[in-house]
This record gives sequence, structure tokens and C-alpha cells, in this order.
Amino acid sequence: MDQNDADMMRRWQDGDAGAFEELVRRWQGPISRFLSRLGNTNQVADLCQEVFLRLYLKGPRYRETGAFSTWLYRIAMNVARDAARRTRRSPLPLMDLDLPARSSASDASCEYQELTKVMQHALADLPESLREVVVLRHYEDMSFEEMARLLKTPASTLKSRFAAALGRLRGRLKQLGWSPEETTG
Amino acid sequence: MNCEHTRELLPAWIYGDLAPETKALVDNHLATCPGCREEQAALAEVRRLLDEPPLPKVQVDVARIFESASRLRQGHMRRWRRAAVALVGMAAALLLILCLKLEVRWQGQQVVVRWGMPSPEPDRARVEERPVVPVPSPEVTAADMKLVKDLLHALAESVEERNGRFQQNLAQLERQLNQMGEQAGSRWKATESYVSALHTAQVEARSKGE
Repeated sequence: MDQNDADMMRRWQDGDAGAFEELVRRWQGPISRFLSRLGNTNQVADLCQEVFLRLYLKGPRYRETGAFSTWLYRIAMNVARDAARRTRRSPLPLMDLDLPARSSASDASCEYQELTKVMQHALADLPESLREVVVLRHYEDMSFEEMARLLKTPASTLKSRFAAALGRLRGRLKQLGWSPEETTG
Repeated sequence: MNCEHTRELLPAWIYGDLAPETKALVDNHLATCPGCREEQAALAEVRRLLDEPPLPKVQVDVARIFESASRLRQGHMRRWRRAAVALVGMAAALLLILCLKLEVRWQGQQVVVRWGMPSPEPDRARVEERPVVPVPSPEVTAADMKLVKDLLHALAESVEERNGRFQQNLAQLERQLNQMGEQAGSRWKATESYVSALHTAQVEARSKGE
């Protein structure tokens, strides 16, 4: 896919406007999900538009020195960081996210959905550097070496951040009184 | 492998990032440690819960991108034009200032660069009025000495000649003065005799009348 992306970029640089539209169609889903997971759910449409606008403006200067996806994710990461700087997020207090009391077995799926919501909030509350690593490793399935190229940070540092991020998420679950037997059993 | 080391490796174990030999070591520890197993289960649950995010569906408006890009580029062009005009203006002003205040000239076999107001010109009239003092030559030759002697002689002759003329004039004046004195004496005698005769006549007339 990445070779196709590079071909598409070449065609676009040669003046084929359709190639740009094809790139947008191909990447709007992954990029919007990525932005959403970085904690920009409310403004993801605008940010996604911004990412592809930057891609359009930077396109003529694109050189095939690395993977197109890494380049595009870096643009998206910068857009997300800029947005975070513009509007400092006010994280939802954990006290507001109490688990519902389980009344019967049929409520299990409801509780699971609540837990999912709690986890998303917990993820959104993570510091930016930790959240980025979780999103890239978990959702984008990037290796730490790819992440190191994208974030320009040593892979060992990113592994430590990832472990720390999972530890914090697990801590949130523990704070809420979750135990493995309740959902996995 | 102890619990601490195992728990450090659990995130990588959950995501399958461990090398086979390390994974085997972790597996062995998990088989014998209920606490680490619980931690492993918790992390696996975290992974599972992360898998269900509500994702918005987004459609990028490509036409709006083209429009925005065009607007941005026009804005950039405008800013560049303004910056260029400002730069040219500043350069012109700087050049003007430099030309007015910077003086570069060749003087006395060296380049003189001077910044600031020009130095005041010397007053030519005053310079012209100033007497020219001849600088004596440090060496006096015999010819010079002869010339000076001749000049002194000529000057002395001139003085003597002038003195002679003065003496002649003085003698002539003395003679004239003597002549005038003689004339005055003779006139005085005549007047005296006339007055005496007149007095005698008056006395005689007075005696006749009595």
C-alpha cells in the first residue's frame, strides 16, 4: 500500500489532481480514527480537514525518503498537538465515571460498555506523550521502530512510555474496583 | 526471572513484542506466580477495553481543501509582496543614508573612509590674507653674500647722495634767510629815520604854535 501511496504522490506532483483525491479517500478513515483516539473526538472532522490541507500544501516538497504513512502520521500528530495547545483539554473527572452496580447477568454487556467508556476517558486523560504511544502501538499497530522514526524518539524510551501508559490505565481500572474475575470469567 | 522484571515485560508480552526466548521465561514465571498472572489479566483487559472506541465517520471535503489552499497561497503571496516592498524601501532608505553620510576618498596615498558630517572647509580669504613668510635657505653661498654687499653699497651711496642734496638745500635756505634779515634791518633803519624826522617836525610845529 505504501508503494502505491508513493506512486500516487508522484502522480500528484506531476499534476494529476485525481491522485490527491485518491490519497484522501484512502487515508481519511485511518487519519480520522487516529485523531479521534488522540483525544480530539469533538473536532475530528475539522482536524482531519486540516491534516489533508497541510498534506496538499506540503505535497510538492514531499521526497520519497521514508514511508508515506509515517510522513502523513507526522502531519496528523502535529495537527493534533497544535489543536491540544490551542484548546487545553479539561479532562473528565474520574469521580463522574463510577461503574454501574451490577444487578444481573444481562447487565454484563452494559457494564462492559461503561468500562469501555471509562477506558476511553482514561486514555484521553493520559499525558500527550503517553497517549501518542498507546494510540500508535494499539490502534495503528506500529512497531516501536516505526514509532521511533515518526516521533524522533528512541525506541527504548517509547517502550518505557508504553509500559507506563498501560500501568496508568490498569491503575484506573483498579481504582474503579475492577478485578479480572468480574469480566473475564 | 522475578516478579518485578516480569511485570516490566508484561506490556510487551501482551502485545506480542517479546523475543521467543524472553517470552518463554515470562511464561514460566506466570505459570508459578498468581500475582503476576492477575497483573497480566488486568493488562489484557485494558487492551481489550481499548479495542472498542466509538469512532466518528469523517468525510474530507476535497473541494474545500483546494479552496483553502488557494486562499492560503494568495495570502502568502500578498505577505511576501508586502515584505519585499518593505525590504526594498528599507534598502533604499539605507542606501540614501549611506550615500549622504559616508565619504570615501583617496588622500595622501591612502583611502579615507569617513562617516558623519563633512569637515568644515578652511576659510580661503583668511588663508590668502596670511603673510607669506619666506623660509630662509639653510645654505648661504658666496654669491649671495656678494649680492648682499652690493645692495648695502648701493644703499649707502643712495643715502650719501640724498644727504648731499639735503645739505645743498639747507645752505640755500640759510642764504635766503640772511638776505631776508639784511632787508629787514635796512627797512627798520629807514622807518626809524622816518619816525625820528616826523617827531622832530611835530616838536617844531608845537613850539611854533606856543
